[in-house]
Amino acid sequence: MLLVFLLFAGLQVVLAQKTIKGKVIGAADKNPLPGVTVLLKSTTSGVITDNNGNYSIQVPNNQAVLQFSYIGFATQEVTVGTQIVIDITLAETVTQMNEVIVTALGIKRDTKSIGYSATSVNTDQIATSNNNTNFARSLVGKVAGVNISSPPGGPGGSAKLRIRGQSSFGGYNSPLIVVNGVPITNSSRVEASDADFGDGLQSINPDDIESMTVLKGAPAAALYGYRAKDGVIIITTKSGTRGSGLGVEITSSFTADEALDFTDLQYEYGQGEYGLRPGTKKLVDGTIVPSDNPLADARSTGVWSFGTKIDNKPFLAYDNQEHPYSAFPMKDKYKAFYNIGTNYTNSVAISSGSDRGSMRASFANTDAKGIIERSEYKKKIVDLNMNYSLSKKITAAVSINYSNEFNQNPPLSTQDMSIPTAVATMSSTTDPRWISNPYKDPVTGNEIPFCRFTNRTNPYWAVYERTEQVYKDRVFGNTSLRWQFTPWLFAQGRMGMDWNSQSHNANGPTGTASTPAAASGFNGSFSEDFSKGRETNLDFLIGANHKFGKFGFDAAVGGNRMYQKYEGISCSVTNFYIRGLYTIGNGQVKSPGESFSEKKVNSLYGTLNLSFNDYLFLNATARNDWFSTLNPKSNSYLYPSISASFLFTEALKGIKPSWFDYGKIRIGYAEVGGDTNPYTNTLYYYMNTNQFDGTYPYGSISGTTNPNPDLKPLKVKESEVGLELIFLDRRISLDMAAYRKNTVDEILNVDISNTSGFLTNKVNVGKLRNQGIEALLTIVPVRSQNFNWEVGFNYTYNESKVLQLAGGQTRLDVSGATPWIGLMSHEVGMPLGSIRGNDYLRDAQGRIVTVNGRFSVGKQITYGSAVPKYWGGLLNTFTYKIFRLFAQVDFKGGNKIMSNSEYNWLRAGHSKESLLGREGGVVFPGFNTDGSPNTTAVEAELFYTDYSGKKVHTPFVTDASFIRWRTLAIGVDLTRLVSGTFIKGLSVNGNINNVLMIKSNMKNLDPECITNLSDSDMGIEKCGAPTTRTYGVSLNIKF
Amino acid sequence: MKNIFSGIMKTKYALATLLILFFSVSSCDKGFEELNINPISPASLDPVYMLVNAQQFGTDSWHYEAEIVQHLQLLIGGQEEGGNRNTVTYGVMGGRWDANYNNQVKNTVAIIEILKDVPERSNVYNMARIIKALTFQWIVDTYGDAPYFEAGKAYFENIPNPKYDNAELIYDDLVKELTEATDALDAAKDKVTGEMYFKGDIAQWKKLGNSALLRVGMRYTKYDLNKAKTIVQKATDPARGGVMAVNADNMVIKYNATQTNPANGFCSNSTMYNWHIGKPLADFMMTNLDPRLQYFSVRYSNPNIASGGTSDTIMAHQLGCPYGFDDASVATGDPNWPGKNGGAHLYSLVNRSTAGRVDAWLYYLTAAQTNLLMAEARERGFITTSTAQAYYEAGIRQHMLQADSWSYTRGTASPISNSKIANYLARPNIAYNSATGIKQINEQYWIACFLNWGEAWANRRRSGYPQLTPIGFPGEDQYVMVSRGYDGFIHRLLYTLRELSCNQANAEAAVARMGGDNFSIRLFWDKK
Repeated sequence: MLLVFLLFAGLQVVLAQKTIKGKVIGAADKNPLPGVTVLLKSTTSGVITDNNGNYSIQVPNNQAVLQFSYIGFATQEVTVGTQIVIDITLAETVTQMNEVIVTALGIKRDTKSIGYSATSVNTDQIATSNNNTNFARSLVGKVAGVNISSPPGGPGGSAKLRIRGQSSFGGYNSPLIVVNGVPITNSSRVEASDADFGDGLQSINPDDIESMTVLKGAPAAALYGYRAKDGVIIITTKSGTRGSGLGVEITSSFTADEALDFTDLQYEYGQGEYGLRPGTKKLVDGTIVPSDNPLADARSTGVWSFGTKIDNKPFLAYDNQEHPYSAFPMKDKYKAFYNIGTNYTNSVAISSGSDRGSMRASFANTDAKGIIERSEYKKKIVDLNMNYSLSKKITAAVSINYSNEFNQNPPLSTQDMSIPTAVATMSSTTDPRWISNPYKDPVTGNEIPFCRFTNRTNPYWAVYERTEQVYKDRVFGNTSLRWQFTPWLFAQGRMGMDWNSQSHNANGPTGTASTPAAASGFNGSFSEDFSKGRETNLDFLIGANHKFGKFGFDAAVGGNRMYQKYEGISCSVTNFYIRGLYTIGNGQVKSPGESFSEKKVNSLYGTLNLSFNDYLFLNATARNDWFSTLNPKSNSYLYPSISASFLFTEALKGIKPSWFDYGKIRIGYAEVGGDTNPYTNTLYYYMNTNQFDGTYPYGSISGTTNPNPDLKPLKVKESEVGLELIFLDRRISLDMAAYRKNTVDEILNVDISNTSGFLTNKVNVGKLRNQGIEALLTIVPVRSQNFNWEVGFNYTYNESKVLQLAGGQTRLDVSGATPWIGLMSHEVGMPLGSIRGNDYLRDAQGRIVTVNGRFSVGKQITYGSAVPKYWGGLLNTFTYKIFRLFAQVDFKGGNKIMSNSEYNWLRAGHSKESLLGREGGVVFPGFNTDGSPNTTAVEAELFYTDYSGKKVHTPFVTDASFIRWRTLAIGVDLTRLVSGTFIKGLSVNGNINNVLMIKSNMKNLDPECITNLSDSDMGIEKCGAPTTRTYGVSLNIKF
Repeated sequence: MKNIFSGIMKTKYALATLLILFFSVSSCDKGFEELNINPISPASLDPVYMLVNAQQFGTDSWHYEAEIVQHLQLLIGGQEEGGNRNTVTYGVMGGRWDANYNNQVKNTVAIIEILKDVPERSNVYNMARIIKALTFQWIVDTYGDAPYFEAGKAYFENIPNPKYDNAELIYDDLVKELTEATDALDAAKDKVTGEMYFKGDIAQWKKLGNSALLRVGMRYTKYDLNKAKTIVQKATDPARGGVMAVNADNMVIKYNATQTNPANGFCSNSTMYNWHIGKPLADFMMTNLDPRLQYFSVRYSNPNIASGGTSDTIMAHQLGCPYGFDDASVATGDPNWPGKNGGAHLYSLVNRSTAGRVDAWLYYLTAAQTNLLMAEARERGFITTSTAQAYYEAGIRQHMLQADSWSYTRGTASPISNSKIANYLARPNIAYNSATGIKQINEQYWIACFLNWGEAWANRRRSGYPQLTPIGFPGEDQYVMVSRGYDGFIHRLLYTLRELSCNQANAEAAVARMGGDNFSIRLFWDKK
């Protein structure tokens, strides 16, 4: 390798006869252009312009031709002749065909030359429609091929990004995030609870983003080898402009969040059970008499609406006050319980540039409050970017991003302590404010539950007594040194690091009704954990390019050393000595824990681009990765790619019609990989942290997965073809791609009999296919001086199919545990992510069988896939003079949801479906075993409770397709008003997010209510926080 | 010019050095193997630590077993259904299967594999064999045929899905294992002071092994009397170390504030007001003025809260909850319905301060049970030592004394007094009568198995005592219905759904061999 390097260096040949000097400026702003390549045509010698655009080059004779090329500008050629001073004005390239895009490893390339799909994200659109604490959420519906969902996880929550489907059976299929050329981690390090503590992307301030490229498929991402299976998002942050003076930019925004209610529940029957309202009981002879303890009744039936008909007559409620037995609709419950969430974000950036370098520093502060009281999120981000030319040829750059986050009480879903669940399942006549009065016993200090089923925690108890907090500090960045030896040869070295530390704590309050009594002291729990992670990447790249007549080449070789280390300590305690003090020291039973993992991957790679006549391009790459996590005998894997691009409009220049601006066909194939975890190939043991009865130490075999010493990483083999067309002076443009992505050697945890000693075997046998098309159509119906209307429509269709599982296995169950219903599986021959559940027991004719009027559980069946099959967006941008209006409608569909909310609403008498049979019992339209229709009536609560006892899931699966008016944003550019002052720019934006649900097939829920971040649970709705509508305003000032 | 040149050269050298550094490691994976060794997890463990892990037997499938033997009764349905309604609720059926295979089988098989050729650790090895045998008796008694010979060997022999073995063949091997392992225990060999039953006391372990063998032998009484007799005689042969006689011999898991009784969370968690004492148990104990009842049963004024309000353990005030009803129908169906406080029916509940404590000790094989089995063995003439009455009374006495270990004072204050025990032993139905001896012995065995419901259930299937009334819940499973010719009781629990899906072929072969996978399938020793 060193040899090659020296060889290139030695090739620097100088032939000197005549010196030409000159200056290169840009056509538009007449500013000097530094870094322009000035090449003596047909040779390898050349120079680059200095920071003032000046150059000086020696030429052999007057016939010499100088070639001036610069990224983003049209190349010019000049025959020297007798001139000794040649000043050049380079015209910026206007058509898309010459746009430059940042590709893998940070290499910039002309879009025309790339043979794969790489989409540049419109950062303006994000800026005007962003009103989230996590900017990635604003990308929803904007990029073809990218499926983004934003689980309602509170202000500090994550955004889930999936590119071209899910590439593996595992739960984590997020794209690689690369910032300024170096990978950063984006995993949501979700703690023991099911709270969403956000992802890695939110430590980037969207105002700092200069450009963002989505490398969708393997051919585009192949240079990232084992990290490329899910595509790559490449972010370049702003670093100031050379030659500009001091600039200051201030952005200030405020948003307000309101909970959305999609329910349509029954309000005919009120709180109570078995047809009785609180305060009454049925005697043996069937007569109804007053209860001995009406208050206890009210407090034991708060989640059931199986009472009597609502009649507005007074009854003794939870708060020991008489209230009318009146309907209290969900929207009023939401109003009474949920606040308006707020988010103030202010950012300031200072930038400056001299002729030798530029820098930009920014600071952003976010202060957000969730819709639930005491749920808050604070974030501070400092970003610094600098580049400096040490000499004409050597440039150094530094980029550092520091973020500090605090997240308190993100909402929980499911059961215990889940505030949204408690609010959503309160009876039809319950005002949540009653439940607050008081929520704890003034004498004992314990929770007063609002129903006998105490796992449904009193929401006010959860709000005021439970605290969960995360503090995160994170620094990532890199330094790089680039040496442009000659205009056609460069070398660069980079060192990047992503370091983060996190502390997390959560209490289980003493006196929580569902917590068992302590053997001694006060019950309750507290846990605290500290973890830190570090990833470093050290890489180098040597690149060369040259043109020989019609042929050109551009090649680079490089290498990367990646090192990751995570460590953590934790301690959880139960049973306290002193009540109300949540510390490790106060706990009587302590369980400490520690975690550690370390891995390295070394890589070597190369890329070669060949061009012919500027209309035919060929690109080949190869990367080899060596993994520390694999068996040393087989730890090396090669990832190749090849792609081609053909500009037929350029090739057919003379004969193409004039309205046909641009046409390109591209084709590519690549193999990329996945990753494996450390320590999975050996059997380990553990010691329990506490001795039994304080006397007998004990331990066992670690884990429930039988180790496999011969594991290898999975491989994704993807081929794609694409077409780019531009017509009518860029009034219409179309960019389409079709791809087929086969995943092989999937690492599967195959369920084995637990009688074998383990629950799963880890094997490399899975096969999966994703194939689809993605298209972006842009139309400009109106283009005039004052008014401009642009319509963008993007559409993605992705079809997944499970091709093979282990051995004779036809199904792999992947969902996590839930106290309720729903199961996610991958099934051979079916799309990924089957939602499964138990059907009714049916007879040979498919009719539901009833015995004594009650159904029973039948076969487990598949209802459909939880993975959306298609999605897209319609984006309209109108500009009229200083006004800009942006409206986005987006859609998703072809997937199903298993709803635990619907399940709870039916079994507890909240949904309209539960009205059937309130008087005289439910006569279910089933058939007896002898084939006769059922005529037996079953008391309503008994009947509907059977859905939980018998675990029949069929009624709770619905289609999750929707069309949603996502965004309305209006911006006004007021710069003109302040022209002539020290203010260089002024704009005001206002926006609404989640404007309207245009079409949805769900009865009572928002189809985007899924809170699970993992792909293994993505179709199972578990009563998470409500989705919200957000109103935002922002102000941007530039000095 | 020279400076610039040297500057360029310097930079060149710097870059070259950087590249050399980058590849200074000759190969691309140097040090990788060492890096992939987990520094915080041990690659081996002293088998004694795994033995202690295996000694922690946990949850009996109380949703079925406690309800089938009519010790406990829940009125609610939904996910809590099971023996209270004779219905199939997979969610609570596999408790014993999962707990025992995931812990006891996994760990004892590992110990046996690791130590099979290590004679200097023979005592640990043989203790593991005894625990494994005890475990498999419970697994087989609950589910019938089960993976035995190939179980626990995913790692050692690469058997991910073990085949199921015939229950009777497993029993034969249990006899062999218990005999061999007990005989091989040798006080002169390795000291196993770290184990938590007897701190390695070999004499005690021999009593445990022999008592387990006695229990196995007595299971055959309905099926093969001669075999029962042979095994019992072997188990009780004094030359082999004898069986348990007093509470100090008990196999007990001493749950505590740190390691809490996994079964007893239910007495203090969100469904704590549901855990009623079954009417047959309460009635039987009240009829005979049984002083143990206060340790089992209580009436709370407000069962919805952890303290229960005021607690009433006065015997005459106890009220067992009848079977055959649900939350709604009990109010009209039971003439003695005590009413509700909030969601709670005011029947007697498991006493949260004693047997229902979160740190209640769990007895898995006791002197009380052993004495009662000896009483029956003597009554049947399997053995000749002492008298059936003496064993019977010793069994009751040991259990009376044992009951106090559930109280907060745990044996230090005032266990049930000798005079109370004597009074009880003289009660008309209790005083031993050889003519009704086997009935009396097994009724006492039923009481002595409170919290050890799996054993109570197996012994009832074997002996037919106590005589209980089928619950006849409307909508019970067809495989218990008296109207369909069954006896109204659950005889076996079903295989877990997980087994039926991941180990399908083997499970189905077992189902075919047994004649079905339902509540009516009887163990080989549970002859009609």
